[in-house]
Amino acid sequence: MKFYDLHIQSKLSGGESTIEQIVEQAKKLGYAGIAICDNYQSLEKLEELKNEISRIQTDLEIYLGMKIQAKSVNEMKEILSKIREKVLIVTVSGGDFLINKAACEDSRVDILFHPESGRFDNGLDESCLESARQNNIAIEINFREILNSFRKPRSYTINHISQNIELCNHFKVPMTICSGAQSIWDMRTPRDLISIANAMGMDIGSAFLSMSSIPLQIIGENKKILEGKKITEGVEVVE
Amino acid sequence: MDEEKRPKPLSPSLRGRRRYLAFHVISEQKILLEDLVNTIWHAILNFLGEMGTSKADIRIINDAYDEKRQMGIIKCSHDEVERVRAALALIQRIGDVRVIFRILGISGSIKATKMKFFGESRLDEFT
Repeated sequence: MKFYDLHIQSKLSGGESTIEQIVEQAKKLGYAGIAICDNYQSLEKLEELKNEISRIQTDLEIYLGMKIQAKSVNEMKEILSKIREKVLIVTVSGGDFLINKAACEDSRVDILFHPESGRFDNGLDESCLESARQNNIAIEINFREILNSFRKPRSYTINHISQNIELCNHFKVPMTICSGAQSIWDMRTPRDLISIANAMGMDIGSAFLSMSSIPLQIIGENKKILEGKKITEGVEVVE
Repeated sequence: MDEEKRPKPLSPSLRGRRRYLAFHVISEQKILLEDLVNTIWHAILNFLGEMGTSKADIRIINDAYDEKRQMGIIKCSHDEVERVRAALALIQRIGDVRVIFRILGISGSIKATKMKFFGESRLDEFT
């Protein structure tokens, strides 16, 4: 089974490790592919990241992702329209409820990262999840949120993630497990991340799918769109 | 003399089922066994609590620790393997050294664990 981690941040946007170090570590840990998902800063920085990735020669699949950290819904939508055609995976950094909701309602978004981050609740309601299901937007289970919190905050984080897992199962929303690593020391083996998700209430079969077929599906669908083979949902160019 | 002081070992069908987790510590600097043992206990107690840890029936097999390769074995109850794995994945530092605590795999006996994950194959190596 091939495993993918779609949320790793490189040195180019506040992370600690270079892309080379990340690639080496990901290979050691048994990943088939990773997505470098840096914070969006500008289109120039995006090009720089693209060039950096294309320079690396490895048998590991490396994808270009972009994380939108917006302060308002309008800002999020503005960045989305700028970068959607340029990167393979577009993600939104959650936390603010309005941004969580807007991300779930916008089909251009692929993954909503840590919707529970910095909140006193799980950050998602029924309407968000219903929209996420309709737009096929995956909700992320972020390992770093758990790793970097201790005692009381960690117990809250685990509780909110468990709630989101339960709700996603109920509304049949896809979930993806990511390390959210900002350095190579935040990375773990796919099987260890699966155990974490399992400990939080996700059944083991779904946890395996969240690290393998769901990321692969996101990558596959977006590749088709970028190559012009898929026009919109249900409309594809058949050769 | 010693045998009289100890209860007789239970038959296999009455003993709790156990699993052995082979682990590997990836770090920049050398890790001391004492620090490693303390960190493992700390991580498991933090994540599972005292009740959960007692159910998990944790034992760190000190004799099986390979200091050079930083590989070792932890015994736990077979029902709690996933939770123990999750607890161990949350280890970030041992002492002041940043680490990745990696589970290599799980097996049903120490002998099989050493054979599968430590690359040992001869009987005289199982000491």
